[in-house]
Formats: sequence, C-alpha cells, structure tokens
Amino acid sequence: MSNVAQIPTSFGHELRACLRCRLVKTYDQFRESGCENCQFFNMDKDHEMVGECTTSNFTGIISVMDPTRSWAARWLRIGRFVPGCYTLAVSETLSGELQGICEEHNIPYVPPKRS
Amino acid sequence: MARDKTLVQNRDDDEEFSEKGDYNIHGSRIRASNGGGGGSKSRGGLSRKRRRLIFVDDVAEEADDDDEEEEDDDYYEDYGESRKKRKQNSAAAPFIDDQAIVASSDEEESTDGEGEDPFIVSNDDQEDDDDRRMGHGYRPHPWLSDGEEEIEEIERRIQQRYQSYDEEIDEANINDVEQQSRLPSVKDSKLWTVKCVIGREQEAAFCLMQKCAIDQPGMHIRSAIALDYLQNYIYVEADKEAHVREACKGLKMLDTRKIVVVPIKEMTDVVSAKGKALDFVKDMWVRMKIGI
Repeated sequence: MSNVAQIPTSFGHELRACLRCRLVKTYDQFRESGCENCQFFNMDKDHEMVGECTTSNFTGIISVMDPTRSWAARWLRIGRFVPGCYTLAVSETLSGELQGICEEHNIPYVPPKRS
Repeated sequence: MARDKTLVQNRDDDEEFSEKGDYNIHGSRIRASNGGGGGSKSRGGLSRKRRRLIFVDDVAEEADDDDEEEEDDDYYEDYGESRKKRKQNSAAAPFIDDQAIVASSDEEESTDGEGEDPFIVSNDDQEDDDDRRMGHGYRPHPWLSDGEEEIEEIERRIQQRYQSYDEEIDEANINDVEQQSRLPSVKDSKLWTVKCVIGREQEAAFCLMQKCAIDQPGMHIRSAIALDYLQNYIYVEADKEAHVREACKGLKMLDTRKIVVVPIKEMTDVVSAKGKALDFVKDMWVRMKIGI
C-alpha cells in the first residue's frame, strides 16, 4: 500500500505527534518527509516547523490499519486520515500562527479538549 | 341536542387534557343520554370500571367516523384536506368532536351547490396549480403515489443529500451530539485485549502496523491500541477473534492464548485517553525520569 504513513522506527522519547492530525513518528521521520496528512505545514522543507507542529507530550498509541472501517478511528476523528500510528490525545494546541496556516488552506483544526 | 352536549362535555375534558379514551367514553355516552336523558350530571359519578366497559362500543363508533371521512374523501377528491383531517384525528383526539361537526357542515355546503361554490372553485384552481407544478397531467395520490419509480427517486434524493451532508461535516466540525452518534454499536468491530510482554506494548502496536499495513496486507484487523497507563495488555480492533489471532501470529511479545473481548459499553473508555497528558507551565517543578 502506498498511502500508509511512515511507521515509527524507534520507541520512547524520540517519538513526536503532529498537533493537528496526531500522527506519531520519530522526530527524524518528520524532518525527512513531513506529515502525511498535513503536507501544508512543509515540515520536510522547513525543519523548524517540526518542533512547532509536533509535540512529544501525548498519551496512548493507536495503529490504524483501516481508518475508514475502524470504529476507534471514527471515534477519535482520524477516520479520514491515512493509515498509520496515531496518538489518542495531545495536550498542546497549535500556535495561533499555525492555526492561521490551517485556515488559509481551508483545513479544519480542532484544539484538544481541556478537561 | 345530544351533539351539543357532548361538545360541552368535551370542552370540559379539554381542560383536563383528557386522552383519547375520554372522548370515546363520551361518544358512547351520547347514546346513553339519548335513551335515558340526564347526561352531564352523572358524568362525575362514572366509575373507572364503567368507563372500561363502555370502551368496546366506542371503538365501533370511531370506526364509523372513519367511514364518514372516507366518503368525504371520495366526494371532495381533495386529498390534502382529508389528510389534514386524518392527522388531526389521530394527534389531537380531544378535538375530534368539533371536527366532526365541521365535517358535516362541509358536506352540507358541498351538496348545496357543487361547481358554483367559491370554495370548491378555488380548490380547482389550486389543483391546476398543482398539476402545473408537478408537470403531470394528473395529480398523484399522496399515499399511493407513482409507485416504485417515485420511491426510488426519493430514496436516491435522500441518499444524495445524506452523502453530501456527510462530506460536509469534516472530522473537525463535530459537536458532542454527533460524537454521541458515533458510540459503538453491535455493527462496529470489537476491541479485543491481547496479553503483551510488559514494556513492549507500544512496540507491539507498531509491529502490528508494520505487519498488517505493509508486510502482509489482507489482515482483517482495523487498529491496535497501546495505552500508556495499561501495562501487560494491548487492544486490537477486529470483527472476529480469529482475525486478531492471525494478526498477532509471529509477534513474540504477544500472547494469543487468552484473547478477551471488551464489552461494547467499555469501548469508549479504552480510547478516551484519561487525561494523563501533562500540562507544563513555566516555573513548574518536574520530576526527571530519563535524564536531560
């Protein structure tokens, strides 16, 4: 399958999650090929963006093989993203500037819920 | 006379927000009062039991009413009107008696002058309008409408509308109510717990991803979940236990001897990531775990 997101190559604290789509990869993977769902962040071209658009502060991993038919993916609102490893929740929000970029590209962004 | 009396009685009942049963009781009591005379005084003294007894009769009378309406329908050929009546008949039972009076007066009117009645004439105009709007030479019956074709058309339209609606709501613009509609049901795939070597839960999830999405596509599992706070187990989402077993085969950190299904009610708890997420604030004390 061609449209599967990269699978993290290591575990633990090297992992980062995209703040918009919650895709989980290693820092290096984000630097090399950006985020498969959020290409408009251009993380692969602008490496500073990796730090801004991703976080290492997340909980839980879900590997989604079949997003369209997975109940968990639908519940977590990642049913329309590419298959890949995601996190259940991130606790940080995108900065206002980056949210602006989302708006420019007409991409919806849902900030994580604060409990 | 009797009819007037019932009207008054029904009005009383309206104040009490009576149900359909009450109307029926009075309906039959018309007959009782026709024979015996004193209607309204004995009303309060009616026991529950007696009300029950009378009930059987009432059904019959109600059926009669319906028949009358049918006749009206035929006579008028105005289905919109009759449908309205019918609707009120079922929904606003306490008002039925009033309606019956109106209906009968209508009947009288229409027999008086058929084509000359301005009401009827205006109706015809409306019919013409309808015809033009529908583009048919005749007016379709609202219930027995054009048969299969129209039903298919409606079905198609609903489906189209639903589809576009579904596309419109992107994953982002979902409120809590819509989220509730995504609650797991029996149609959804199930979550299964699989025992895993402690500390390798995340790795197991990644390995399952690698295996099922890239190495061996054609596996039937939908997702695999590793929770930070739950050691020794991972969750695998699939329709059947056999699918889970098949996917886990060959992964040494997973023990497939005991696979347990998660009850549907607990499925949301699994994925709702109970807020262990840390919020770092400036000047906050933290405990180092893995060094700087």
